[in-house]
Amino acid sequence: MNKIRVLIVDDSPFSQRLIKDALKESKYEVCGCAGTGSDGIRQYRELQPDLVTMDLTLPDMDGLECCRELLTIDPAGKIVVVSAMKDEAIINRGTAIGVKAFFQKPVKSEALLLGFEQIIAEKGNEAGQQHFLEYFIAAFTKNIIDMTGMDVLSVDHSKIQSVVSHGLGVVIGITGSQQGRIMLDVSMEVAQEFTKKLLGTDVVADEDVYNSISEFTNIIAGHSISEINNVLKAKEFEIRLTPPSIIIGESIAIINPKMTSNTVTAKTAIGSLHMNVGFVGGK
Amino acid sequence: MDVKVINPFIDAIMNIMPQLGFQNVVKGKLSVGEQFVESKGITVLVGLTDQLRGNIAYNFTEATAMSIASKMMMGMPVATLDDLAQSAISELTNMVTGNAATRFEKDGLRVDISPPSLVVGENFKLKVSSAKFLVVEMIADSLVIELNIGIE
Repeated sequence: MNKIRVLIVDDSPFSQRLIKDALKESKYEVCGCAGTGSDGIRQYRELQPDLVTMDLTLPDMDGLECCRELLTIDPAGKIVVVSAMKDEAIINRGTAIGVKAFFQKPVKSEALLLGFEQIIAEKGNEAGQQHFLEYFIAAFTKNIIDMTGMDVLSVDHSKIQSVVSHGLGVVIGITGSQQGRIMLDVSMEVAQEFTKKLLGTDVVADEDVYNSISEFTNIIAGHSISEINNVLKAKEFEIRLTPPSIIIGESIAIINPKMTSNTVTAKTAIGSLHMNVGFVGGK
Repeated sequence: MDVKVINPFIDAIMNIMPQLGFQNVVKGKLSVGEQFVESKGITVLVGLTDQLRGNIAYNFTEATAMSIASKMMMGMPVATLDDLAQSAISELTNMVTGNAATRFEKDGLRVDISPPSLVVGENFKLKVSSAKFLVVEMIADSLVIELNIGIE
């Protein structure tokens, strides 16, 4: 997985060091450090970072001025202010320019990581959603292979608004610092064949199918969320899962009005499995 | 499963429905369901986790869902369960479950809820994570909302 690249603009080597330490062992990497506003602008053009942390007092210009210049170059730029000062006037001015978040020095690792997480997970922010999705896709394909011994022939994904079931759907709610839902959806035939592979038997009752597909979904969700919780680190930002519900029926629409979701389809020798993952953003 | 778990949900409905313009809210039949919830057409799933884990399936007929949505939007006519109506119904279950969760918390049980999933279609059934579940009907101005409460 590619790391998310961060540019630090701060004239204090000590502060640069604190921010670097705060991002250590996370999915973020510091791709550059600038000690002046003009160097920050030069490095921004050159490195095209995913995120920028900006100090407000720079030797050659005001930090918010520098933010505005960066956002003129790249209107989609994601900038957070990290400074000793954090008052209403700074927040209002910064927000008007397009700054995403404000942190006071000394910035705490958990606060910065959660702030970054919320920025990249912002609604409509494809990069953020894609990022969470990667954990789910990894757990989905790995567990198909590990638990059934079958190969995953191909994996496709598409962004969609509502899901229409193929016969058997397992829904698990996501709650905590992020809210959403994961759903596994298969046709009844694929569910039966898949359960045979999971259990290693030739005959399966409907009850076995419901239980097995439900537990399989629970495992994928558990693995994915554990990985995401490792990234979020602190307990108060933890994501939790609700128990699975099973929907049985064809052509059933599953709608979450506030959610845009991604459907991932894994093709196997016995047919396709569909996993749908959606988030509504942080609390 | 302790039958008392239904009380916070009943209280939540009694509390919230009048705020949405319903005059007469009463409790209807109470029963125990096994295995499957048969959908009436529109079923909204909300998950619970933390010190109480399970799922609530709110079950409505399409006509009831549309009437409730219309009332929630201050009498605006609702001819189909469109985006706006879907959002209203989903918000209703979110409010009720959230209100019930606050009541559980007052009794010392921490409960966290998932966003609602609205399930719409013909002839489908659901399993709510526990083999047995409590079914309670709530009647608001003659509209029936069936709550299926499955707690692990």
